[in-house]
Amino acid sequence: MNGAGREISPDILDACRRGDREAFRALYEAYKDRVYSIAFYFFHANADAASEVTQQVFLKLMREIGRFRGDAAFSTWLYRLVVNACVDRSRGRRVDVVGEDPATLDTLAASTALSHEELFARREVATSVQQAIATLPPKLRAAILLRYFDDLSYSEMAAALRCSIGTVASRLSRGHRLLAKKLAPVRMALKGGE
Amino acid sequence: MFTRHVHDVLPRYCDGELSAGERQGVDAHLATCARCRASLEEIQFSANVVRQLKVISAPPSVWNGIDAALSAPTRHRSLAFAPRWAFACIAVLVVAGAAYWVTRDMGPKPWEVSRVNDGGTRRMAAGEWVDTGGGSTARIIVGELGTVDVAPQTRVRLGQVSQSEYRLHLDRGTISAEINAPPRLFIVDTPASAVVDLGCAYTVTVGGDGAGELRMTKGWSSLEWKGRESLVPAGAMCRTRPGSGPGTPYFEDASAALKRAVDDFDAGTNRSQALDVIVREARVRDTLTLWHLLSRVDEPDRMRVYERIAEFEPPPAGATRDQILALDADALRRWREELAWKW
Amino acid sequence: MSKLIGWLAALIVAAPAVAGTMFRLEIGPPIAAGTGNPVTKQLKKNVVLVVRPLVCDNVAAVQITGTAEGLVNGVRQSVALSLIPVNEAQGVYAVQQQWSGIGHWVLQLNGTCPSPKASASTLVPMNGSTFIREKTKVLGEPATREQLEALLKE
Repeated sequence: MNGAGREISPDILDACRRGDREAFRALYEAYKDRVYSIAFYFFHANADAASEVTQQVFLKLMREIGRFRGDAAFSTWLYRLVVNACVDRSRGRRVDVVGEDPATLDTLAASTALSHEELFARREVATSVQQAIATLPPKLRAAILLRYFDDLSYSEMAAALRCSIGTVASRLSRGHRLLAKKLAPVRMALKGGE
Repeated sequence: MFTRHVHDVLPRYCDGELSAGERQGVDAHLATCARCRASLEEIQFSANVVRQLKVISAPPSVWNGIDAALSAPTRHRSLAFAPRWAFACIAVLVVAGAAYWVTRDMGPKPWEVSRVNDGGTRRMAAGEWVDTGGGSTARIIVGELGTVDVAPQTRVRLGQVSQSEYRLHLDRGTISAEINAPPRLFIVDTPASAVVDLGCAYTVTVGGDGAGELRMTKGWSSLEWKGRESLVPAGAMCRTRPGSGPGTPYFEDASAALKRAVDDFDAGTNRSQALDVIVREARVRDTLTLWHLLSRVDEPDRMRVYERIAEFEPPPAGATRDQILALDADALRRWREELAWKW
Repeated sequence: MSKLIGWLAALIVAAPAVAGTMFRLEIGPPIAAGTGNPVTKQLKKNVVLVVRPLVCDNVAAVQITGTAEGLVNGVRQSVALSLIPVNEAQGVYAVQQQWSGIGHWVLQLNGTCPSPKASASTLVPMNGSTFIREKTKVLGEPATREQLEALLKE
């Protein structure tokens, strides 16, 4: 699941600054799925929101690419745009989170014969995970998704989120522990299968 | 050595980002602290779960929107790849996603109207009219919700805007809306009905006599007037008449005979004969029309309509014949939801 | 619908010599998921159709996957579809447009019913973002390549 082929070449970035449309398309193709996925899970599998955020990010990127001097990793700058767009959009909006039926998850917890693979292959588990992530406070949600969708290091995440490494770790810690509590039935089912 | 709890260090511990000395310190603390061991388990479980999330491919429509926005002309010059220019110059945008971004950049505003022919854009207040007499067209940017294209020879009054409602009044002519909003946020009033937008794409036309028609291209809408409601899905249309509100919807690919018969029925012309034609001409898809007629025909005719629909698809569990003939709302809804699988 | 399923199930039990099952995948417009469904309401503009399983003992356990198969300027393309659960209990999924607007496209939806064990496919020719119901093929077994290619060439 982690991203591969991390940084875009300096030649592509230079070409983008000169207004080369093909270069911009190449840049877009290199990062589109990761950006889209982060926004998709940030807004609980909302494809409309993911599309809007992805469009915003890349259009803003092209507007401001002249300001990117290469003194930081391009991906750091890109993910800062992604996080800001996601957090901005989530402010003041009612979140329609389609919840998993608690009865379904209770049944899951009661079953003891599920292997690790079987558990995560279940639709209700995937839906529950998506829901749990979408209900985290925005800053914790952003930290969790950034960490796992492009395998950013702590220092890269700190640069993207404009905070210290300690703060990054703290947000990840709080986010993970909240997720674990929300996904208690899944965790119990996993223990039952071990 | 960590004498305080190590919750905030644990993610880096799990990811191997601590120095050897720091790691030893955490190990020593974990050996004596059940609370931090529990936190470690939670973090490991959650990290493992999140790693299962699959990368989702961005659909082609995302690039199409970006491409369109990059190609759209600004008020002053072509935007085609001028990254240093203020994005706020853009007045006319092609896709709803890009429109959303621009209006956010420019701050909240009720109505932004651009005249396509002369390239001018201005903000307009509630109560003002957009009049495209003389062959011009216009585009109304509806805040962050989408766009409404105004065809030539059309008069539209801009209505009030609040957090819970955007309203337009179509006096005559044709508008095409592409709206992406929570249901019931965007409403178009016509002389004969209100088109309550449920998030979709459609065209509304109103004639000089106040009669109109709604044609759905995506999603579905509801036409409402004094308690009378017509549900219109994509591919279907519905006429409206002053004084009687929304007519009976039908699919645009229904037979010409059925469409004429529905118009006659709604106009009150030879209703019995019109109903005969509708029942005879109906295909399974025309159960959209038949379902609406259940509550619009006189009681003696209701059984006939019921039986014709039931030939295509019997009512589901929880919706009996007697309930439907009695126009029980829940039974009707259940049957409509089953029938919709055939539309 | 449960009456119909009961009738069909009885038919299956009464005629064990009949090969195959009645398991099918049915498609409908987004409104078929119900006007009050929060998922289709939220995603309505991009949802092109919804799909559900019929005649399976446990519709909630049916696995449905899909691809968009296309012919664009003479070149064959295939796009994996991410189906969105709309009603887990009824096994209903929404299909959003994930393929390009140009060329000729057919959606291949495949389903597996755990009990009775059965597989089915539905092939849905598209006209842009509108499905062509008259040419849709609802099959009681997995679609063959020939069936798909024939529809693509129509």
